[in-house]
Amino acid sequence: MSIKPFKIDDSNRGDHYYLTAEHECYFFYEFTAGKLAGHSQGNQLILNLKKQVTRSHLPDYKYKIQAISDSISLLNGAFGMGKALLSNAVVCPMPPSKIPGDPEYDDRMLQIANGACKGTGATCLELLKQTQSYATAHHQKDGGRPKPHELEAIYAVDNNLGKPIVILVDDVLTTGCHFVAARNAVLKIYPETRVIGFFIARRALPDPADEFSAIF
Amino acid sequence: MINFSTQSDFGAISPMMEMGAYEWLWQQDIADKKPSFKNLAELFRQHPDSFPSELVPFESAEACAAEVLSKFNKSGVGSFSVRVRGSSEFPDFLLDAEHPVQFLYYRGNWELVYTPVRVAIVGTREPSHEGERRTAKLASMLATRGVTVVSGLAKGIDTIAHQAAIRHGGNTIAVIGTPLDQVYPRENSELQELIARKHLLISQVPVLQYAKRPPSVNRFFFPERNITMSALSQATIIVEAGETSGTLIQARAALKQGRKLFILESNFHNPSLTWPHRYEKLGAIRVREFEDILKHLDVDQAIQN
Repeated sequence: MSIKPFKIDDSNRGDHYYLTAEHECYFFYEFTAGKLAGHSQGNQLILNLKKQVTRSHLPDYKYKIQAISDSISLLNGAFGMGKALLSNAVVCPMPPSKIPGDPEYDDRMLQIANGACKGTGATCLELLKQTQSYATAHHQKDGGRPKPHELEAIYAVDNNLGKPIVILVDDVLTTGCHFVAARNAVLKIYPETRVIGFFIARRALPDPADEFSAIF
Repeated sequence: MINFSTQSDFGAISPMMEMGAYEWLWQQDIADKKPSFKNLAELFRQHPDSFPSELVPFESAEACAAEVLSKFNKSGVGSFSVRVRGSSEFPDFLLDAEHPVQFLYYRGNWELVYTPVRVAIVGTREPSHEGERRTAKLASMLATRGVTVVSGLAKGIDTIAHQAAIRHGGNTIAVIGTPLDQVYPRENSELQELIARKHLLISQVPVLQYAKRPPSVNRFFFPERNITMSALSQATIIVEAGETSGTLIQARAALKQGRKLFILESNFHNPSLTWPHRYEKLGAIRVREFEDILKHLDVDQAIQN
């Protein structure tokens, strides 16, 4: 599966509330908020990736494992087209919502980041760690989704970067809150770093609920 | 044509640059090489692995893109996106058109393009009372069975088909003959916005070229979108159409693309029409009852899978 990534640019940045022109982000697929029926390849991939780890004993969990492997291929393909950058890069999974030890802790992005580095010259590093769990955006019913500065406050940054480029990988780009928080946390300690976001998919056509909680 | 290298990191595609390049290509009105879907398809047949941005100077594409974005902003086109041939989620079945589109604008839920059964319902802008009734019935019956109703948002049959599908909780796709920032007919403005927000609105029409051309030339975009509408669907149903109707462009395209073409029985009983018999001879299916459509499309089986 070799698919060229798309760039976030002036035509689509407005769908991601927290992103501005200084944020460098790429994605492979696109979907509409709340409409993940899984007819298209991209939506199917995201639905499978997001299957909760507490379902690992169920037969359909094999689709999650396949989705992780497909995501690795996607990223690895794109990284292969940016080899000059990759040898100077650390690939970092976006920290999951639950910390290790939590029964719902999901290391899918770590697995993906690890696999995607293979043969590219990049190093995979959990540069960012979360010091406490928070409820995932789609599970919060009160609309009180975290804001970048709140997330940034619970990120701990490893003091062993040693490369000028950080590639943050995550499954879905929604408002851009997590990316901006993680980028800010990295830049606070390593101000000269080029921070790039790589997403399997971006959510197009914003969910009014995302916008609402971002504004208030 | 010179090949312009895009030089982007990770081989990434910038939707904005592809959009700008597509718009620029449509403005190259040079001598006998008038811009048209046919000529653009020819250009990309000569450059099969190229994206529009690779055939257009960077600054030109950038300037055109900025102009489109500014137009969209001014006219309140909200969140939109594009599909470029050769990138992810550009459906292969669009390539069945004689001169496949290279680029599409859309608003809404692209996933509807992949729903298991998509049927276009088309016909005259001036339907009879019976024609209106048949369209509404047909669209609602298909929609309630999970079929995505595709049409062109024109006056008459198209409008009724979209409305009935929506009213019955179904999915609908509108392939319009105007750019995303225009509405035709005006009275469909709310329906177009509703489809863009809750369903899927697709346009292949270049924004800048459309703005420059007089309506007498722009009307040629309508039959072009019928060809895309057919390619997007597994079947086209003609409810009611006159001898010179633009609907027949879609009939021809459907057969050429290997799609099923259904013609409602009533058309065969209209003594002033010759096209129903002509198309039946060419392979169209005569629909006497609703079940004929379901049977030929194997709807239940397709949706179950």
